[in-house]
Order: sequence, then C-alpha cells, then structure tokens
Amino acid sequence: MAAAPPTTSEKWSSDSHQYLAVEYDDTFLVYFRPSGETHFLNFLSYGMVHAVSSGPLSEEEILARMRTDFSLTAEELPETLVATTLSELDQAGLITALDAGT
Amino acid sequence: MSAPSNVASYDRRDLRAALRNGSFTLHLGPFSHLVSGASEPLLDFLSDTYRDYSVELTPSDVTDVLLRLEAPNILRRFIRRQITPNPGFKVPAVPLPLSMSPLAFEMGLNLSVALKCCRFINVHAGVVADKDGAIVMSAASGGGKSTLTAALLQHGYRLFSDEFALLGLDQPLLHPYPRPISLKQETIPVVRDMVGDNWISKVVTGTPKGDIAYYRARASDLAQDKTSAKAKLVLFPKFEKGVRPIARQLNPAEAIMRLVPASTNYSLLGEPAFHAITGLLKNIRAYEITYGSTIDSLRLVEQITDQKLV
Repeated sequence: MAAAPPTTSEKWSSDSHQYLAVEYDDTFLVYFRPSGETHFLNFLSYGMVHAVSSGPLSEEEILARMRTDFSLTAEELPETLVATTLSELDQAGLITALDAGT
Repeated sequence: MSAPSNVASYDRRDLRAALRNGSFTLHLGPFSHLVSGASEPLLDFLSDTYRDYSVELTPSDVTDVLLRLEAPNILRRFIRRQITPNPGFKVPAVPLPLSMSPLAFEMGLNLSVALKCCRFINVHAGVVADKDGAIVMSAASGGGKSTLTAALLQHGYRLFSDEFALLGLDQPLLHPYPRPISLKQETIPVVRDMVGDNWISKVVTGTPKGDIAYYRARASDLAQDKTSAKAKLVLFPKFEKGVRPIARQLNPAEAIMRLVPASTNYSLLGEPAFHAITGLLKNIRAYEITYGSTIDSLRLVEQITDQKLV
C-alpha cells in the first residue's frame, strides 16, 4: 500500500538489492523483485531511486541532488515535479518513506 | 515405440484409431503433443494441413501438451454434435459445432502453450527468420501480423511461428514452433493469392472469429524446427487501410514494455524473464510500422533490414 503523502520530516530510501535496472539511452527498465513488476523510468525517476539507495534523503535533499546531478535549473526541475515523482515511485513500491528519526 | 513419421505416410484408419484411443503424438519444435478426439473434420484437417508434420501413433507417458477434443456433454456427442478443447485445465471455451474441429484443435494447442509452457517466455507474436536472424512481429488482432508473416515467407524467410515467439530463458534465442498460419476473414483471399490455393486449408465458416483458414507450413520450415535463431529485429506492425507507409524507431525499453503485456507468462517467470527479454533487445532495433498494403509492409521491412531507414 502506498504511504501517506510525504511530509517535510520524511526521508526516502530504496534497497538496491530489490531491483534490477537496465539502461536504454536516457530511460531505464527496472525489474522490482518484491512485486515482480517491470517499470519504465526516465532518467530523473531512476536518478531518484538510485540516489536514495545509498542512504535516506529528504525531498529537499533529493531535489538538490537531482538539480546538481543533471544540471537542471529550478525552472527545469520544480519542487512539484519531484514531489509528484516521489509519490509515483512510492506507489510503485520502488522507494519507501521513513520517519525522520529512523 | 515406433519412430516418428509424417502424417501423410500413415493410413487414414490408423490415424483415426490413434486419435480415438489417445495415441496420436505430434512432435513440433520443442514440444510433443498427445492429442485425442473422435472427429472426422479433425482427421480431415490433420491429414491435409498437418500432412508434413511428424507424428507417432503410440501412447506416450511424457508429453508437453495433452489435448483432448471432446463433446461438452453426452447429448452433444450424438445430437447436433459439438466439440470443445480440453487441455487439462479449465478454460472458457465455447463449444463449437463438430465441423469447426480444426479451430477447436488450434485453440486448444494455443491455450496449452500459452498457459502451461514455462520453459520459454511466450510472446504473442509472429516470427520468421533468415540467415541473419529472426524478425519478431507483435501486433494486436487485425494488425496484419499473419499476412506479413505469410508475405515474408515468400521472400526468403522461414516460419518460426505465426502465434508465439518462444524465447529461451538461458540464452536469448528464439525457438521455432511452425504451426499453420491462422488466417481470418479478408486475409484469406489475400494470402491465397500470394501462395496459391494448394497451401490453404478448407475455410471454416461462421466461427466466433468469422471465417478461418490455415496456411500450411512448408516441409522446409518443419525440417528446421529445432534450429533456433537470434533476433535481428522487432516490429510492431499496424495495418490501416489507405495509410501512407511509415516506420518509427522505438527505444528498446519502449519495445520491451510493449512485449511484456503480449506475454502470457512473463509475470509468472519473473526475474529470468526480465533477463531474457532485455537480452532479446540487446544490440537490435525495434520499429513500429504502419502501412496500408502488403507491398508497403514488405518495402518497409526491406528498408529497415537493409538499414536504409535509421
């Protein structure tokens, strides 16, 4: 089940052992072991999944990381796009929301 | 145990007896199929359309497919006779008049392979191959897959299947399963004109799918039914009357996301299926082709394979 909408205190994480990813140009096919589903992700969505696999990050931290990693301006990558994408990735089970204290 | 021999080499009485007592074993590609059914239209169909296929008329304990063609109830064995495929598990098959036995037989084999086979990833697709590799053609019903498959057979390709791309799990190789090509409605005269009357079965009229006929596989295709091939191209054909021919190259990931829902067992097989299907698309191209005639579709395929379209 998808978690409740993220709050600023939440951090996101993923477990890189739970998925397999194959890159095709700027897109990724991701096989998620727990669900057996295959997902088609663009570079930004996969970038988020990958970023939180090395340690939990808040939405703000993810936003900053994505803008740096992909050289995107605030106009090119608004906060709302990151929030929407995180919500979709959460619904797919590819990332998990953690409490700030965890 | 007798050695397999072509259907045509057997006496009709022996074929009938084997079908009645459940000792008709059809060998094709990676599968053996034990078939039973007391139906003269089925016997006619097998004697004609399957004349070059390899069979044994001895019972076998181990087969991949067990298909019984039987009446839905005792009444329909005798009065207004009907037939239904029983592949050994419950399927929502509508009983058909006995005259439609060929359709019941083909449907039963399709259901068996689609829903029971786990040695390969099954993708609903036509596959043909030449010396350079195989072309996989995945299309929705009416997309022109069967007509394009039949047309490519006239241009140096051999038949793998009109129905299933069987993709190996250990290696990304396609395995032939050259059953007759199923032709529906208006494709029947088109393919008949292309290949000649002798290659087309008797038309089964008034079926739930409309008129159906079958294009018999060639002996040369059957002789190579154990010779697998690597894919060289994946196509998503789309027939639209009167449209200008166009080809659009797809990102391999998009192509895979189209093949996955066309597979009956991808979800069941899980991770090995993911490895195999990503392996299939490794270093090959995928296109969506839209066309309004067989000539246009052949021209597009030729342009793509000759790398004139990049």
